Amino acid sequence: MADPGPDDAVLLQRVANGDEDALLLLHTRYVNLVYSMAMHVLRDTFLAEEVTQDVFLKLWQKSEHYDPRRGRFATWLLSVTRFAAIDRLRYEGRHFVPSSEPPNREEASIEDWRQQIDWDQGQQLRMLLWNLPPDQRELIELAYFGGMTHRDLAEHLHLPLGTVKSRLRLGLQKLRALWFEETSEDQKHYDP
Amino acid sequence: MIHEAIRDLIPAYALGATDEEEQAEVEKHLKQCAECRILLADYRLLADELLYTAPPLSAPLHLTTDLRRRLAQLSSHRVGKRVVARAGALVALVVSVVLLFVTNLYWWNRTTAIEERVAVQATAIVALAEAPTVTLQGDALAPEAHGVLYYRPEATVAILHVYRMPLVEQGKVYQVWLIRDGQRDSGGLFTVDEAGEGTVLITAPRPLREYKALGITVEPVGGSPGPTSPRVIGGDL
Repeated sequence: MADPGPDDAVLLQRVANGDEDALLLLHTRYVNLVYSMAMHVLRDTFLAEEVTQDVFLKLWQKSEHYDPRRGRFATWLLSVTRFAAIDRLRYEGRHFVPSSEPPNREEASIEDWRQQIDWDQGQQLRMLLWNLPPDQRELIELAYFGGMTHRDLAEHLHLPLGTVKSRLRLGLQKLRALWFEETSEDQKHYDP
Repeated sequence: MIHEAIRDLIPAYALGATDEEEQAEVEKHLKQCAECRILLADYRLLADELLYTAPPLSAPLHLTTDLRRRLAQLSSHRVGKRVVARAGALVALVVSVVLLFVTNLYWWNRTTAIEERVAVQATAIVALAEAPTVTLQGDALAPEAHGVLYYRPEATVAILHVYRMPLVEQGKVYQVWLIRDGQRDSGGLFTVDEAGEGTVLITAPRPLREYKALGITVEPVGGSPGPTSPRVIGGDL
């Protein structure tokens, strides 16, 4: 089995001390994850590349902004990427376009990705999103990846505010129920 | 707002989809409702997991090379790239400042003494376009801030260009301090634009070779006789 290398906390400490090699190791480890998030939000190769590089340069300049007590590094990095991509989307005067194609199970077999932390769970959740009614899934995606609030969504979709609120709530409640069911099943599977 | 209404907003709040006033109501309610805090923790887990649902792609290989290059540029000279890009603009700025300075003073007062002083300063400023530079680095208050000072030791004027300075509150400006033997002489006042960039023509009461360092603090509009707040950025001359 390949050596996984130093863990994230060690690399981040080295980054804080100005070690470029440590940043490049983190880049190798997470660039696909960051780029995929940026592309998902922006749907533009050039913009996604710029956001990806900005995220890593921000990490280089402000690695101390990550607080390990508030969660895993990969989650924090993806969260930073999501906000950076949404900011860029707004700057460009664009709107997020929700996915039109259901997930392709073959994607999950991309070898590089099988190593990624939480990759499997995230893709299971992506499948579950597609079990929701399309109008609920669309609202969840627009809110989360498009950075839209209730009011933005109502305006964007020309829907009454009350409809948006109840539809988004129902979608999230249903997704949470499906997700808990799924993870409970996994738990049963792994428990001795 | 009643508990049930707030509870219905928790899923959207966890996703960041609540509007400003809803957000304020939820945050107020959360302080006193353990049930809603637990519900929020559940939905935040779901929101975190959504981060991993983007379709998987392989990043272009050139991103690694690009990052190496950008790191090399940053480490060789933290401000090098931007300064080089702006060198032409700075020279144009210097020339414009000189022209403006000379023109204004010319029409304001034609006395020989002033014309001589203008000529000396104009010569000094034009020479700054090719002057050696000193890099300034932000202190703890503004670690990202940096600047470049163009100066000649024998001159009493210099040009300072700063980047990524924090924006100052209304009624405040930045003040340049020239430091010699524990004394601080004011070198000028300036503000920065929204990107935190600014240029200031520094005028010193003595030749700059007599000063050991330069610092910048935030002071009230009009300036202070001495620094009244911690240094934001500075460097040795």
